[in-house]
Amino acid sequence: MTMKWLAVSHYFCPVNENTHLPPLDAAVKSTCREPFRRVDRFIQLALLGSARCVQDRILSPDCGIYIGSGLGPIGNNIETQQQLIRDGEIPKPFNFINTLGASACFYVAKNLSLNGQNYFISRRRGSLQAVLSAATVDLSLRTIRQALVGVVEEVVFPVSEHRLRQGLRDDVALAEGSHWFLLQADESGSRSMVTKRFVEYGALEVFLKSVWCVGDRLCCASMMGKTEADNIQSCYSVESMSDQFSAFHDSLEAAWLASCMMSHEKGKIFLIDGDSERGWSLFYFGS
Amino acid sequence: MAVDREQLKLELKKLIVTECQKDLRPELIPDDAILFGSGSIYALDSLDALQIALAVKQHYGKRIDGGNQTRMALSCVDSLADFILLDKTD
Amino acid sequence: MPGAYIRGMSLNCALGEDVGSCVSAMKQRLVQTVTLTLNDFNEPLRMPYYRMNDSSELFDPRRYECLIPSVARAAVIQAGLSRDEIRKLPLFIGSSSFSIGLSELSYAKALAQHPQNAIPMPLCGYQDIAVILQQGLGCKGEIYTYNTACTASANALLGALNMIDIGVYRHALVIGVEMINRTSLSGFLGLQILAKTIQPFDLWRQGIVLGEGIGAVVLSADSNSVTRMRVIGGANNCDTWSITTANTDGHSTAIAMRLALKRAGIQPHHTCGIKAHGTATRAGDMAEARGLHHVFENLPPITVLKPYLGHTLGACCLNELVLYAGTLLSGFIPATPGFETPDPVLDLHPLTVEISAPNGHYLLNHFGFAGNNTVLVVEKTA
Repeated sequence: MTMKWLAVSHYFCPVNENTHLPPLDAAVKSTCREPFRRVDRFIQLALLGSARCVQDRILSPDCGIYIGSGLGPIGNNIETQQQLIRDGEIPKPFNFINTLGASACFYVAKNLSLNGQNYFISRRRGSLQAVLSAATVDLSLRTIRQALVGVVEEVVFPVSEHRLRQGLRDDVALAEGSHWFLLQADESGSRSMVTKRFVEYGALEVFLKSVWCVGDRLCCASMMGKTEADNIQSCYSVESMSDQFSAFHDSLEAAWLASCMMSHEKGKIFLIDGDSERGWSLFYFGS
Repeated sequence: MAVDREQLKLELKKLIVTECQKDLRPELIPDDAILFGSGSIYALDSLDALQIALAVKQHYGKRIDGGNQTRMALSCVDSLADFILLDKTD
Repeated sequence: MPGAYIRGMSLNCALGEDVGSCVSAMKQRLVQTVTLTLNDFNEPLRMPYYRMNDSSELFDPRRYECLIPSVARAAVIQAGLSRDEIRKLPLFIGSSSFSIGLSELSYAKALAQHPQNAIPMPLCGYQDIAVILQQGLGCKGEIYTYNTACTASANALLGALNMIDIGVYRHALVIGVEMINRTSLSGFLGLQILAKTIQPFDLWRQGIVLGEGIGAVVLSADSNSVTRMRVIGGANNCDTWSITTANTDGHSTAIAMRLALKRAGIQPHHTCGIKAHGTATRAGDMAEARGLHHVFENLPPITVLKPYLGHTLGACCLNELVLYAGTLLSGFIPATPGFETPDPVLDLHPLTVEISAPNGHYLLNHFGFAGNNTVLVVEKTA
């Protein structure tokens, strides 16, 4: 499946016990095409990332929206759960409605005047791959001409609780992120984006060898089978996400990919994921 | 206990601004300004009505539901104050 | 031929524990709700509810591990997949609440024991259902969890359908899960759209009655000897008119229906029946009825299934798809209990008695919060 990427945006903000979450109100207000009420932080992150990716571009009316997230609108879910379990109150309507991941899709669609298809999909430690797979399939089937694919992760204070919630050690630094990619069903010209699926690892290896060039960048997803990741590492100069990002969120693959695409001028960018049961996915982005 | 109607109205204005996340100063809402619908400069909608209804229930113990009589309470700050004070002044 | 086969399917809802018992309970109109009383709120909440008929206490956390894999297993067994196919089976899950019920219980317990250390949202829900399913079935394929309100499991099905269509997978397990939880019960109460009974498209309709249920489908590129249903196509769109309901002029629901029919390659007048969404809210039914009138010059027979199993939110699409398919394969299109007095504004008349179900195409509507509209087209084959 070959298509084209048109634009990318990357927001990554490490936070720790001693910092405050930077307020997003002013940035959202100045970036969005209309002012919004009733939006929580997760929605603000989505609005900000998507608007920065699209900028003033006129989108295809059928452009699909795909938001991926490991934890989703966790801050609002926490507030809602406190209202009803701790305080014994009926949750406030705005809080209740925004417990849904899809509420972020709604506001992104509204801000960009889009009425096409609209999905919120989650996969722990692999939300980018889930939304990219879904979007590229729809682009290949030509059910849509463009796809706006975003991955959003929110941090909620206190940071120590947020670590416990995710089963992380207490020395792990955390980050918020909003990483967006605008894709188009178009095989011509530069900025190609290719998704390949392989049943067998051997086939992926052969393919990778045939397209890899010196200067290309490559990363193995965090949930990729270990033996095969080690094998790739022995043959190619593999980049480590944890080396590049001193802080963690559930979708670091998206942070890595977006930052590479923002800064990389020549060569291809490869992301590999999979294991013997899931099969193998390879995403690569040309310059 | 006597309830200060003016104080209550200011509280309600603050409640409306906070609950509906409106970017305006509460004291600038006139007591008789229409709050809901396209004819209102505040343009609150049915979801705002539910949000306010729940807050009123939690703060003042008064239930605003879909019935016409109670729904009328949400017309403006004056009517909302009347509705809340209805039994208290009896 | 586009589309994919429903090679196995199963259902657990208020009607019964498998498709056969659900269809037979439906025929006898054995519709039953329980009255819930939740005393842990400052003011006790009371409401009718459609619960699954297992013998466990309604909020028992063990129900997740007990009930969810068993429904999935029944669908997988009917599909006759090999051990290797099961191991690699991808999961497409649709739900509104995922495992929020477990998270609530865990938080409440911590608050009671050590209030100072209690952490809200102690479990991050999306993946828990997938893990329960993978452990219960022994499958280790890719996971896609959809959280798009009341269209979630329809979108999960569409996702699986497209991936099968293009050859990414040969088989996929699609599952809708909605288990009782305090967030949904109290949240909908705050929205003031809970009713005592469900009366879809009726003049006196007042809203929804919630329910729980688990529906599973094995979608496959290949048919087997028992397969007589195919999912042909579908469409999804986003209506930004309001976050709680599609535009009541029916404009966006009509677009979704037209697009689904177009992708399935059929004309509106070739539709043999419609499974309407029919939430029985004032606005929701208006948006759907007007949309139907925009698309269909002569409306095919219409059924709403929520009066049988309640509104099972994100799982409603899969639950209702399996139930509808079960009735069609049993030879009939079901009636809609609860509909008595037509609403002249809607001018829509769901079936009040069951009729026979011919082979052919059927349309299934789903509309949810966040402007999400999803329409599916299935075919009953000879």
